[in-house]
Amino acid sequence: MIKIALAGQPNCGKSTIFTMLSGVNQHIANYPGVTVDKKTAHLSHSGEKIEIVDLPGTYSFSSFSLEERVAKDYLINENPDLIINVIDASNIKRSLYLTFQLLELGKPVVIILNMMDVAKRRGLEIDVQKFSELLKVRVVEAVGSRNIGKKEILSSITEAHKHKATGFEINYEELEPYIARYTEKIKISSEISPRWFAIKALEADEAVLSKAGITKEDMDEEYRRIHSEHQIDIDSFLASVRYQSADYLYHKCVKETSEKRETFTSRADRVILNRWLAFPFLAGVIYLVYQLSIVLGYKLTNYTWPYLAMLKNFIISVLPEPQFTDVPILTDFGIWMTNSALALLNYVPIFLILFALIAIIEDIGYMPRIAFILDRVFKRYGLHGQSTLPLVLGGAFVGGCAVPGVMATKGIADERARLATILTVPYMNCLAKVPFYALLLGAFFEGQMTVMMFFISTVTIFIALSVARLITLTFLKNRETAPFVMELPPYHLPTIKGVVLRAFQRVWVYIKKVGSIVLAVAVVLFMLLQFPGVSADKQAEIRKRTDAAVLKFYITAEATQYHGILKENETVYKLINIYNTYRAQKMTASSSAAAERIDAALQAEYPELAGFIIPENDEQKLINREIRTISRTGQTLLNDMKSEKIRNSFLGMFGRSLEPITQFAGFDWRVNVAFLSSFAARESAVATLGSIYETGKTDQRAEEAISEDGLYTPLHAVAMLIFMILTPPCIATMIVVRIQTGSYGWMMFAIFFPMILGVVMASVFFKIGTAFNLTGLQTMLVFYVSMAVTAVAAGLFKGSSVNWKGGYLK
Amino acid sequence: MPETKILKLSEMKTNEKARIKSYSAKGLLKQKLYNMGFIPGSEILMVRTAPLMDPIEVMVQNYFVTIRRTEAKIIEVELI
Repeated sequence: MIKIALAGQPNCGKSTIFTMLSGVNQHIANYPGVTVDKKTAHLSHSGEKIEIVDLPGTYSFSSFSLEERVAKDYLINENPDLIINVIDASNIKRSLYLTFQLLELGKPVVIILNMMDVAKRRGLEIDVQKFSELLKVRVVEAVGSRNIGKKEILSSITEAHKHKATGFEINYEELEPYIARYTEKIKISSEISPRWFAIKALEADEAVLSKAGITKEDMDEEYRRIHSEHQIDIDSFLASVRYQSADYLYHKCVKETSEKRETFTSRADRVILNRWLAFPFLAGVIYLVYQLSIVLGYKLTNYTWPYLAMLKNFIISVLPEPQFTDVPILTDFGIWMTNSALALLNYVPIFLILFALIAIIEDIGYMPRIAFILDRVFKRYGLHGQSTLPLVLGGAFVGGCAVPGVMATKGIADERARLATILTVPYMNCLAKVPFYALLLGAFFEGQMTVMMFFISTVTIFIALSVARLITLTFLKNRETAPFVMELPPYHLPTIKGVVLRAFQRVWVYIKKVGSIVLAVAVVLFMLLQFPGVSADKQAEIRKRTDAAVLKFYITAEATQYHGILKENETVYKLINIYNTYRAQKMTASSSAAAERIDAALQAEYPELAGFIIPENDEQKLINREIRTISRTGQTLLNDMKSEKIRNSFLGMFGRSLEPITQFAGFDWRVNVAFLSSFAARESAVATLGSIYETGKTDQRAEEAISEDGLYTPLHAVAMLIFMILTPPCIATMIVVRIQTGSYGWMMFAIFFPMILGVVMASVFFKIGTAFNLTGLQTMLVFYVSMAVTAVAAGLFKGSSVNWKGGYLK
Repeated sequence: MPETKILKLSEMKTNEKARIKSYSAKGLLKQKLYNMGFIPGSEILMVRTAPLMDPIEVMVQNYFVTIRRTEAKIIEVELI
């Protein structure tokens, strides 16, 4: 097998080359221990098996960033047989800076001149033959975005693999004697050229120095000697020689035929980064991303939901049937798990659109430009220009999703800002919190919904900024930060294949990682809600009411011609189940034709009983009415039992035990349970509250039930809203926090810090509201203004922003 | 020969061209600047400042780089 490392500078089109070579046959994982994507592909060419690893894009192999460290470690430790170096043909000079360093490794190298079309359009005539001769390696021309050059690359790989590397060397002049000395001195058993180690040692690369047993002090001594003898600084000298050599090579091989015209990128940037147009344009892009993914994606779920509902109906149909009010625990469990899984899958359309749009923005090259425009604002809060998109995705308007938001923090170079962003995205408003807001606003703020929603949706950005400032000045104080030096790459059209592939890959990672853990939590929650169960007294009472309902049905049935069929309990229970299923199916039927099909299926499957569901004569109608009644009674009894079960459950006890703390915020145990159970998925807060408040009046909405209950005032609702705004969205987000930070510690922090903050804030403002006798709306306004003032004050407060030498705080 | 003017990169005006003289940066920043092509002797063009005045965008080695003013302060240039 040939093991190949694919290397290149950022924005050279490396990913399109990788996609061209591998097709859909690629795997994404993380490099061990770090959150950098590791893309691998296996393919075979003329009987030879090939493994390609796509290294992160790097400008060099110093230890500036995580990506560089990962790429360097891979080359040193994994020992690839061959290196493919992708070069942006329209920008050869600077690409060579990395190429020289790759050639010094002494491995066979194949160079791909990518984006040849762009180079030609810019009037660059490249003498590929000469280029190949001077560098002593195979050079292939390609246009990755249009699938040009694949065959040539593959044959060059097998050719180059057969021959040894030909030893291209840069002459570092004054430094050569030192390089020669270190080449002798350093004995590291590796297939990598000793010369490379010698040069790296002179660059004071810590990884190499420690391998070679040279101390930093020895090296400093050496630096001083070289400086006094030759008047040169080693690293600036190495860098200049590389750039000079690149310049030399460029002039030998490239002719600029047309006059230097202004590039499209410069012209576009004059508009896009213009002082007055930059913000409207950015706002437009963000609005578009939001509309297309969250709004349109949400609508799209209306079309995908019926399929998920069908799946749910199918799963329910294979579970043991309930015997009226006696529901087998297996059935309960199956429905619970299905609901938890579907709550996640329901968002897949949104994620697909969102990830595709992010991939497009990344490929076009707008991402670093967003950072350029907004860095100044975010810098004040310890964040980074690149924090913009994660925060917007998390829900800068009402309803984002923290999962892609946290995932989008990947590219932020500044470690402290990246962590701060990961930890603040969950404060934004997630889509699944909206039903809860709607429930409370509907119950307590009917006339003031708009203004309340405005408060809720904009207060989050103040909170996020304040929290970011707080944690960067405290918990993250000693985290490594990075100097802000970033390339604004030329604009490129993305390829459809690349975008679609990336969107699907990211969604798949989400489903796999998040799905498994959410289901595990769902199991735990189920157990906590199910046990110890309903008391014997309650069970007996339910039993009595059940028997009474069934008896009433029999009395009606007795008087009809059908009493022969309807005399067994089993038949009646079956009939109720058939009726419930039928109703569920009818609700998801998309057209009248589909509805007719459901009717036909019912008649075919239960010829004897179908008549009671779709009645034809008066007696059947009578029985049908009774079935409806008994089904409704059954539902009431089940709900009654369910709320009793929740009350007695471990989670219920836990909720009750939290009352001493949460009472300051005005929360009773029912609210506590709702919040606790909603942690698996936010939507279930509404469901839980709804089922606890279930009054048995089926036509009464949850809003009415809660407001009529009389226990809560709008002030209570505000406290609940404040708590909901501050608490982390769901377990899925926390898992992604774990993935992106690589630490359970930060995951725990992301769970408990906002919760504590939420309880404290809810209590403080509940108490303020009570003390000054404020209305709900007034309390909300006080909260809003307080947060806004805090955020502005936090921005004015200057902390140390330069911390390049700061080490890790382990 | 006209007198050359030495100033900090952060003080350059839009569309001014200069040559990088030296910089007092150490460690990470120095390494990063070399990698991004800020080599003493190379030409640098001030392209624009961000809408909020910070960071700035410059052209160096034929490509566009954005750098915060705090970092640009460290680089000395010579107008040409």
